[in-house]
Amino acid sequence: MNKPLKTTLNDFKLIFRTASLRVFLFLPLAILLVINWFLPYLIGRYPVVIDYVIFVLMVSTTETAVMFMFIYAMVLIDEKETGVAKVYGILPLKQITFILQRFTLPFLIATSFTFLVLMVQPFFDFSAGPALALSALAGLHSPLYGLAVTISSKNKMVGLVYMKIYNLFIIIPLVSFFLSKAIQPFFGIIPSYWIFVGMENMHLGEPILWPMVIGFIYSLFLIFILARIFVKRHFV
Amino acid sequence: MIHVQNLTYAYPGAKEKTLKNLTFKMEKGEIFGFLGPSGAGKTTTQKILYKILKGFEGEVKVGGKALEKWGKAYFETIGVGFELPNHYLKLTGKENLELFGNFYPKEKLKNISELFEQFELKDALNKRVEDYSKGMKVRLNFIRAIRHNPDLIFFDEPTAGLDPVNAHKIKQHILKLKEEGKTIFITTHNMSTADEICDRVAFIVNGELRVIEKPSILKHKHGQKRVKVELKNGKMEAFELEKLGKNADFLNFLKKDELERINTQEATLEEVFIKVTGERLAPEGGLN
Repeated sequence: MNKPLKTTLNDFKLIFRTASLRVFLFLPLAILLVINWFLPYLIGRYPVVIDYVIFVLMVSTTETAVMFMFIYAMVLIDEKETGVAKVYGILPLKQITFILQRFTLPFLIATSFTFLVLMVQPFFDFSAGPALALSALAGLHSPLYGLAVTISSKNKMVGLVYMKIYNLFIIIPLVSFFLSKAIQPFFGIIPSYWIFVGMENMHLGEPILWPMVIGFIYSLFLIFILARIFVKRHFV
Repeated sequence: MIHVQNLTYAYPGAKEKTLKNLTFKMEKGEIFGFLGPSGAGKTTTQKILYKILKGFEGEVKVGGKALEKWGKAYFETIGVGFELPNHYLKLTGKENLELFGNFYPKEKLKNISELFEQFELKDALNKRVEDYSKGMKVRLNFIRAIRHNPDLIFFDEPTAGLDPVNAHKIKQHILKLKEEGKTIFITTHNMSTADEICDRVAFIVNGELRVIEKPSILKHKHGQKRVKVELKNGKMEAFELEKLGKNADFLNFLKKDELERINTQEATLEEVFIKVTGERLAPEGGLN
């Protein structure tokens, strides 16, 4: 069986055999349910909520991506805790290949689920192309924060703490939309800002090219830096 | 097989060097023991040799080729038995081995069921590793290290924490690997393990190599060339080994009563270590 497939199957076995992780696989579905059924119900009862739907969508896209980050970060931290990571360090496997093998699937799943959320939500009529680009940018947050949490944490408890911190960090750029336009670009230092700007532009019917380009370059740059740190620390 | 010249290493940010100018050679088919107390630099040396730690000074050659010039193929030729068992606990023993075996050429891999049988783990093949005992996990470690039939195998404290029966089994397996022509590098602070299985040992203390020699030579060199004779009546006397058969005092002493025991006064490897390095391997009362 080919290596990436075997590794992926192994990851799924580990996730399904760990009750605390198994639950998280279903959370993106819960997000989908909230967006499609609960939010319309809420708007029906409290019409004022409609003005904030775009912000709910912004959070939903990043949270969908972050769920898979959480699952994979926990698997990787567990490898560190149990010393299995050291075994990967002495395999005939390039460390960069290891990262690609372990993060491609979470990226693809996160992208797909985000795309699904954007396409089936009943509030806006987004075109598939821009929605897919936006989903891919959100999907990149899975390896991005997955690497960040894994690097920062020595064990799963610490991992959970960092997970909470990063989760808050991701939604901080939402604040920028309630502040003056002049201040907004400063939030660009947080990568999720570019997803939010892209979504706002999409919602307003404005081009999303630049926020996407900047978002992709910036996220990939951060992933590159984190991957280098990960390689230095994970296998020792 | 391994040629190390002036190997020096300091961990990033550390003020002191962990390894200081280590120089040694390992021949093909040899069991080479690296002995020293905790923190002496044994594991660091191993980590450099299996390419986990980079940024060392000096020269390290494996199979005649500089270590840094070895690529991915290096890891197909080496096997590593880590000190602590490290497996996916939620996977079965078989699943663990299949997963890691997937990274090696198929034709090199040994049959999992046969290995499990050989290591008396047959019934644990499809059990999750979380249900294994410590001894079983260590044996699984061992199997993983040798399954791809490597030529050079590293074992870090291979008998640490094992009961005497399991420790004996592991030592027998290591000796069997030597019979198959494998080159084996062992780090340990267990002198009896080293004494039993190593062809040569190196004493390392504070990152410095103090001596490299065959255990038998070391014990002989640092022991007393005498025999201690004990008779049934409880009388004891020691005699020089030289010309013992012609020593009248010795022969007369033997006639005094029935013999209880005769022991040579050879030093133990631990005594030699203390004598040579001035250091103990573990605190008094430690499990050595």
